[in-house]
Formats: sequence, structure tokens, C-alpha cells
Amino acid sequence: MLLIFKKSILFRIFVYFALFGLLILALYVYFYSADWHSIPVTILGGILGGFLLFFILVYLYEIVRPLEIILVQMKALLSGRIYKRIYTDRLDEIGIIANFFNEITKSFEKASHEIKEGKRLMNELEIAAQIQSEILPIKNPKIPGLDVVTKSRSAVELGGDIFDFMTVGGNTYIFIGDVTGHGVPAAIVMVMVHTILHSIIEFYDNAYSLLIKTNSILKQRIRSTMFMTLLMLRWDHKEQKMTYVGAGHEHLVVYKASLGKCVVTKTGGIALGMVVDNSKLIKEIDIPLEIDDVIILYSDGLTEGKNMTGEMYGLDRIIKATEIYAPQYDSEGIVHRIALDFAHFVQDHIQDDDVTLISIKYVGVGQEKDNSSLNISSWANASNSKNNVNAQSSASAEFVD
Amino acid sequence: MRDYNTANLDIVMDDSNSKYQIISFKGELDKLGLEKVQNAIDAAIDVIQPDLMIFDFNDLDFINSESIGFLLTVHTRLIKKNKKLAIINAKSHVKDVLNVIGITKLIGCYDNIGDLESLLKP
Repeated sequence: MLLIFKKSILFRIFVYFALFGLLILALYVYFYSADWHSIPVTILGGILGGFLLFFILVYLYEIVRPLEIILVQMKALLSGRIYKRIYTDRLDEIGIIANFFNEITKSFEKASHEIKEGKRLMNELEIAAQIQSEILPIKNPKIPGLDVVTKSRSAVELGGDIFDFMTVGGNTYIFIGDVTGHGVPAAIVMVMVHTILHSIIEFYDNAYSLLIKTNSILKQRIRSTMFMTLLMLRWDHKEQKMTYVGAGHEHLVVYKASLGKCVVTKTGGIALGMVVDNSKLIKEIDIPLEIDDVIILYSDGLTEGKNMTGEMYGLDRIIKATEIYAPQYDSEGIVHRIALDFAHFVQDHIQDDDVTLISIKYVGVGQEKDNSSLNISSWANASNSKNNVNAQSSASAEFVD
Repeated sequence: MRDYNTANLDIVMDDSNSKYQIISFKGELDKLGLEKVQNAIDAAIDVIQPDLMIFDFNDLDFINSESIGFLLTVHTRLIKKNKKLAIINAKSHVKDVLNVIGITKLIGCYDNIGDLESLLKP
């Protein structure tokens, strides 16, 4: 009964008036012996006046005044002014309205905070994406004896693909890598690897030692589920000799001009960050090159790019396109044509992964090209694709384990 | 037998053998649905009794690098519990992906369950 009294203002008012009625009845019983009509008019007037005053007081203090407090805060909320939380221990209809107001405003505040936080995070992501894009080279390098052109595109604001060209002493290191997944975690690992490589490269003269140390540093600092595949080439300027070390990356595609076809090699090794010591699992291997041979490096975003029917672009199409375009074009043309072919293949299908493609053509000393003006981050548009290969799975490449 | 289905991947867990628990994959193992499957397999690892968990990739058509991370997680968790993970019946292109990244250097990849004899305790 007490709970109903507290929870319902209507019940409470009913009880007040019932009590008042009882009071009247008690007065009536008190004057029972007297003639009702003999009660002075002033007393009856006083009773009715008291009843009215009681009604007004109940109405004012139980309903009007608390509603007014709530309405003031509601108006403040609706007009965009500062509003206050309504403190009440009432459990009745007024209490429900007050608590409803408090909950609504709390939700508004939370939503507003989340919007602000979202905006802040978006700004920070934009800054992170900018920092990441500034880490990756924006210009193609000029390397003695080589014609190098790169194209890269991120699937999301922050990508997991990495590539770079580092020249130290008489060697240029060209590497391409891909972190598991993409987004913020992938980007952080990507930046870590990039920083490690740039920090320690001066202490080593070969890609093998460089990747052992990089792996060792990385492994201690990343989750066991994260890793980065990487393929690093080392070009010896003086000897005009190319070597590579694979760390679980995609196949190495080498177009042999003398054969007119590609030789595809599994790069081997194990992805960086998978094991504590990778020294027994990776090795530096020679890539014999002759003039006009072309090395194609790519990330899995290229091979796993899907078209509208769910079919993947695949390695065979890269090989086919390379075999068609490598004899006809320099690296700029090769990369451009493969990118067009890819864009034509995937059409409007949403890109799930970062895509990076590098063409390295051996042109001989003095014949190297300055491709620094070419935009690395521009990718071909399918609508411009007319003379694409759209190669079917009929590549004639030689596969080497 | 327990089935877990996602948009593009179905897995079936078979606990009937006391020497190993076999989990069959059908479909594509990529980021779509990976979280759901991962949760199911995480739960299976928590209660696994045999010393060997086998992933049967006979009907697995595709695996991406993100999913290799998932295999690595399962492998790491099982190793911590003194148990092992093995893969069987992987199609050539799936095996190729596993080989390329180098995960087969950590997780045994076998042509069929018969080749697993050395891992099965009597």
C-alpha cells in the first residue's frame, strides 16, 4: 500500500482527499447530536475554504511545482541552453518524467561525446594515414642499371602494404611487404618494420642479415597472430648483380627476355614475426639477370583482387600480362598496362586489400631511367582500359620451387 | 558433431576420436566470418581433451593471409596447452598459400590422416 502511495500521484491525491473527507465525517460525528442545519454558516464556509486551500496546496506542491522544474530544464534542452540534471527521489509519475529526462539527456551527452570522439579519431586516423603515406616513397628511385616503377593503392585509410628503396654503400635494397590484415594494427606493424629496416640497414651489407635482425626485433614487439610477409631484393651497383631474400611473400616473377616468358619462383622463407629466429629458414639467392629482363614484385591484393563474379585476378594473369607487355614497354608501360588489366578485371568490385606492384627492368649501366616524376599512388581506372589482356589462365611461365 | 556456419564458410567439429579432434572446413577462409569461426574454435581449444587438433581442408577453396594469422593463433594456443595442430587434405592452391607464407614450417601439413601416424600416440 505504501509503495502504491509512493508510486502514484493520483492514488496519493485520492488518499489526501479521503483523509480530508474522514475529517469532515469526524466533525459530523462530533456534532451528531446537534442539528446539522444549526451549524453556523461560518463553520461550513471554513470547512469548504479549508477544502479548497488543501486542494490548491496539494495541486501546487505535488503537481505544478515539480512539473515546472522539469519543464524549465526541458525548455533549456530544446532551446540548446545549458540544462541541469533533475534530482528527485519521487517514484510517481513526476519522478518517472524526471528520470526519463535525466536518461534522455544522459544518452544525448553520450551520443554527443561519441560523435566528438569519432571526429577526433577520424582526425587522428587521417593524420596517421598521412604519416604512413609520408613513410612510403612518393618517387620512383633512380638506380644504376635499372628502370624501376611502382604503383600502390590502399584499401582503407591505413594500409598494410609496404615497399621502399634504400641505397646504402654500393647496394640498393628494394623491398615489398604485406602485414596480416589491414587498418590500424597492420599500419602500426608496417611502420615498425619500416623503421627497423631504416634504423639498422647501415650495419649490414646483405639482405639476409638485415631480415634476421629485423625479424628478431619485430617478434619481441608484436602479437603472436601478426606477421609481415616481405621480399627484399639487393642490387649490387658495381657487380650489377641482383639477389633476393624471401620472408613468406608472394612469388617472384622474372620475365626472361631471351626466353620470352616468365620464370616464377617461390620466394620461400617464413613471414617476419612468426618465429623468434628465422636464420635457418631464410636465405639470400641470386637472380641472374640479362638486359631487358624484368622483375615483377606484387602484394597479394593484386592476385586476390576479385571481380564481380568472385573470381580472383590470380598469378597467371600477372604472368600473362607481363609476358605480353615486358617486351613492348619500359617499366612505366609495364606497370601501367598490368594496372589497367587489373582494373578492367575487377571493375567496380570493392577492393578488399591494398595493392602494390613494382616493375624492375634491367636496362644496363647508363641506361637507367629517371621515373621520379611518376605518381606512385595513382592507379589505373577500369574505364580507361581498352587494350587490356584480361589474361586467362594460360600462362606459359616456368615455375621454380 | 557440431556445425558452425557463416556466410561463406562451414565448419564441422568431430569429437568422436579420443586421439584427435578433427575440424572440417568447407568454403572460404577469409575475414568474412573469420571472427565467428575463431570464437567457435577458441571455445573448442578451451575444452580440448586429445593432444592433437586436426584441420581438414579437403573442402576449403580459399585461404588468405589474415586467416594464416588465425592458424598461427590456434597453433600458439595449442602449443601453450602442450597440444598440436595439424592440417590435412589441403588443396594444392591452399597448400601453396600456406607454403608461401612459411606456416608449414610451424604447422604440419599432411596429405591425409594416414600420414599423421607419427603424431598419434598409441
